[in-house]
Amino acid sequence: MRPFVEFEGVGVSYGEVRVLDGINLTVEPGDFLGIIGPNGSGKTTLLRVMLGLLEPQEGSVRLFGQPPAAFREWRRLGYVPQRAALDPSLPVTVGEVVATGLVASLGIFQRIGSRERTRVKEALARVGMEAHARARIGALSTGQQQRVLIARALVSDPELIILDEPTGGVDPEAQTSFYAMLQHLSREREVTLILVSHDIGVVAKEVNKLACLNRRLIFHGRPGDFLSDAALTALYGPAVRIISHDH
Amino acid sequence: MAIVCPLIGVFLVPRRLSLIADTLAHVALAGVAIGLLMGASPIVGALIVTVVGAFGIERLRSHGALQGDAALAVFLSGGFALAVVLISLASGFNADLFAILFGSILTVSPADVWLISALGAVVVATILLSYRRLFVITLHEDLARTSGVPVTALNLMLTLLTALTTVVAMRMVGVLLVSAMIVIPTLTGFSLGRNFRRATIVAIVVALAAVGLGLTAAYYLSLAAGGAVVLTALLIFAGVAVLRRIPWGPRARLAALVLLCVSVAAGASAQGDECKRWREAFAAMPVRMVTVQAGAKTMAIRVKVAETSEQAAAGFQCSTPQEIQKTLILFDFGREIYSQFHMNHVPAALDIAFIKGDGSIFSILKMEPSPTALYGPMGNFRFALEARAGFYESQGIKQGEARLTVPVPR
Repeated sequence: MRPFVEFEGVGVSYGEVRVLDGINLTVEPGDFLGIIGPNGSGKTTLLRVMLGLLEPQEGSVRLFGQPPAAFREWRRLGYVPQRAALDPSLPVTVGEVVATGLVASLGIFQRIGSRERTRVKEALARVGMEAHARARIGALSTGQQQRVLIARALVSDPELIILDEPTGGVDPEAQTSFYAMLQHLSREREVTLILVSHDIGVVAKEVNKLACLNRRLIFHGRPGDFLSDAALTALYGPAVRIISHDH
Repeated sequence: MAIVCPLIGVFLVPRRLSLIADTLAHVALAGVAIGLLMGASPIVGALIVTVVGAFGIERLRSHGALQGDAALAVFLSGGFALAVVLISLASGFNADLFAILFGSILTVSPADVWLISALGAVVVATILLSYRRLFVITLHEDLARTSGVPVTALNLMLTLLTALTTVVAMRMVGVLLVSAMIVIPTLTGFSLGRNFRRATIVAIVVALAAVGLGLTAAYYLSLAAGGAVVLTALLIFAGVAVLRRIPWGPRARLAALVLLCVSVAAGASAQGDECKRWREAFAAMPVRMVTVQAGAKTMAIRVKVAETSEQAAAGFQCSTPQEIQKTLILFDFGREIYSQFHMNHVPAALDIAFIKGDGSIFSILKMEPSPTALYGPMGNFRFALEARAGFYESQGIKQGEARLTVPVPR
């Protein structure tokens, strides 16, 4: 099977500012990849390139073996944007948000039928939000909104889910159950996951592959190797130490 | 229009694109001016220019050259300035232009009605077909792109549909108030709707109610139709905002909304005797014979005479086109005065002759139905004789060459 994502020598500049430089990255089916790096390290840019929202000036990107511009099988991919992405003042319900995840698989003349409604319910049940289907998104807590966005990504039954800073603003308790849910998706349902975050400590514990970004990829491999590696200093500077709290 | 405007609005307002509608409306005005200059239908002119403008705006926007509202404001004032210059090139401001600035449902020609209906149908059908995709874009553009939605193409389509909507709504509420009809019902819907679909439906209902009630009020109270419609929409919006602060159940709220609409309607119909008053005054006008001498020809004409100030105020208001066909009204002000005639609530175009105290017909004007236009001659007059449009020409009566003789009454 081909890798889901391939980056080859990808470089991006905004004017004079070099944001990404010589990025080589592959994501194999079954990976749970964490991409970490400090603020301004190019995480968001990398994500936008991966999703085909931004065309890199250098190098090539392949999504499921195709260049993103030519990619059409969007139902294979679920994208979970940052939580602040949805305008809480809009009169939009949880159910409506999740149903938008089906837009790629429905034709123009197809209406949302009972089959689609069942899928929305199932997706909400998987993130433990089935009781809130009719709630307005503005009325939910930060962690709940995050779960809704994940349900939206899940509803099309994707093989790859890409999450952008999913735990920003979520309290520690909700974070724990959130990562348990991701582990379940990764192990039981064999969904490939890419998680972008600035939170090294937590992410490194959860993922099975780690990519550390600071304009360049400094480390790309198993997280255990990284935490004992001096690359951390190159990434965050000497002041940062990983405090591991294994029980 | 009541259906089309909020359908566009629910996709524009959340993305802070409300100003686009206003901008396109002003660009449309330039189109109207071009249409009037070339003697074509102002609606066709507006349609072409607005669609071109929509492409221009969307191009600037997708290239990132149009940051924020400043560039839209440039387009807006640019369109308006172009319109003003073009109009000054022509004959100056006339009744048609006023109708387009401030809206007038009465001056729409049958051909334009068909064109407007067709445009409205196109907009509604397109929106309904792409509703789900537009909704994802409204929610989050990147989510839409990563769901395979052709965002750039649909954004262009939405701007084009906004252009069509602007043209549709223009004849009704006028260029200056188009964006109000797109924004206000949408906001009302958003504050009431439990979900997006219901919010859309509520927005349409509010717009329909505003158009219905506003036009009724305008008709009976002799108000400008566009302003009345927009004010009604605002009234409903304000009422909803107040009601929302009261912690009632949804049922009580719905009842209150219905009550609000009914009371606005009752308020409008309480003024309904206005029209009745004009009809009674019209019926009470005495019939006289007058003679008009045009060249060698002298003709006797049967006219209704508006003698009292009540009758003079009534004129042809609230009459039927048939009555206008067969009736002439002579206004006698007793001495030479200066005044102007309005054409609000008059269902057909009229010719009016202004006559000095000595009976000389010194000015003949054509008057089109309009809630806002005023018609007056250059100079004072004692009599004015209103007839159906084309009457004077068909009788060979020309201004400056004819004379009216009114037998001394009583």
